Amino acid sequence: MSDDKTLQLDVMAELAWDPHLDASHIGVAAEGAVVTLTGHVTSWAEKRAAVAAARRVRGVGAVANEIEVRLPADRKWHDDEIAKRAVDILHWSCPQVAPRVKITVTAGVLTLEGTVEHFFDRMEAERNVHRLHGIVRVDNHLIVSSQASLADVHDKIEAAFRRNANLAADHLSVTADGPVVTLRGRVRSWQEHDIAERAAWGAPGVTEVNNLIQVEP
Amino acid sequence: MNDKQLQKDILAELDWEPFVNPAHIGVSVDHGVVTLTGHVTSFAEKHAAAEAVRRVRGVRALVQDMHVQLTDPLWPDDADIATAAVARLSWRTGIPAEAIKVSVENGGVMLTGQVENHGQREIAAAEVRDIPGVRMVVNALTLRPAVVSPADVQQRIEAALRRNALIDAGQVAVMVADGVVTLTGTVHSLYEREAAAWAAWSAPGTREVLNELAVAGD
Repeated sequence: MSDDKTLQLDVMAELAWDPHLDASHIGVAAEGAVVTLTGHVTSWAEKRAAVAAARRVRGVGAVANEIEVRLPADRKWHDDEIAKRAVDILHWSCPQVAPRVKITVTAGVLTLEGTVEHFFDRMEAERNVHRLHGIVRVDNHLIVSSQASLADVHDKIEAAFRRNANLAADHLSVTADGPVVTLRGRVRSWQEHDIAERAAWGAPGVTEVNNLIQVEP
Repeated sequence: MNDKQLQKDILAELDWEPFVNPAHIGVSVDHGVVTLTGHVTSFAEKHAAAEAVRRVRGVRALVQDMHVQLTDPLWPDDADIATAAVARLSWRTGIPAEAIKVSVENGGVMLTGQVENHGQREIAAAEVRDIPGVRMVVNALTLRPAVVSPADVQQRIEAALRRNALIDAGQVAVMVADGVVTLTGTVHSLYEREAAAWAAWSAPGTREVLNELAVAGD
């Protein structure tokens, strides 16, 4: 069996298992380390979950996501209902951040607007609402405006990398251009790529994390 | 790595973790086995603290002895928690919310009912964890039984381990008997250990996973 065929079957197996999605209408093509996902799912959350699942698979270098989100025909959720649910979810999950976030939903596209203090607040707000039924896409326009001091950001993030059991810190580098942090280097898996990004969340004063780490399976 | 350095690293990681306030958390380390004591202000924070500790290089196991001390005297009552839990479960994709029953007593949430797979079981528990006022989550969800031969289960698990980019499948041995999967061998981190267990749960027919994987010490 060719490497491409093996990779295709592995990705399909991983998609079939993933509890976050129904993969029955997802197509997988593999060429070298590039996997292309096509077909359709019934929610934005599933579209994202499909990419995450493919990335867990050994040998996957890049994923092109051409999956279409088609809401179920018997769509029971109206835009204002979804928006209200999103507001409630944020109040429960991130009560400090919730009052600063404005949520609008139009034709299933959920938009987040407002200003938050930390980069991780921006990511958490999106994470908490993106799995609601009836969402076709999330547009995250939250702006991070931090008052915290940026002293030693570079050293602090490198220290976080070194503490982390799942990262080879020597293969990673951090540059800070004011409050914007860029991560570079090489890792063997997407899991490590994501772990490194998450490890940078703790940095005070950071408004953006650009993850340019290369995954070389 | 020695225990003292590991303790320092863990305290640094808890301080670093955005969703944890380490002010009242105690950390003791004995040959890489970490015990957390003290208190945090929510169940979600307790979970975040455990995740933070598990990431740290050198941690081989974690004993959770922290308790949740709710700070707000007007914390939501059990009925509010139950309402929020039911809402969260039914509003999101990926779980058969109608099959899940929620009961709440003194801030402790219990989930019962039957779901299709372990992933759904975990998603349901994660969904109720964040609700203000929750002290504890007891996940009593059961899995729909599947009739699969042990050889089949074993094969599927081994395939799942091999295809996972982070797991060194050659170091993990899989044994299956009557739906109970036992994993033995050595891995490099707790993350890998959990990823292996997750792969074991991926096979229909798995009823239980006994994770006897050891995390390599230095």
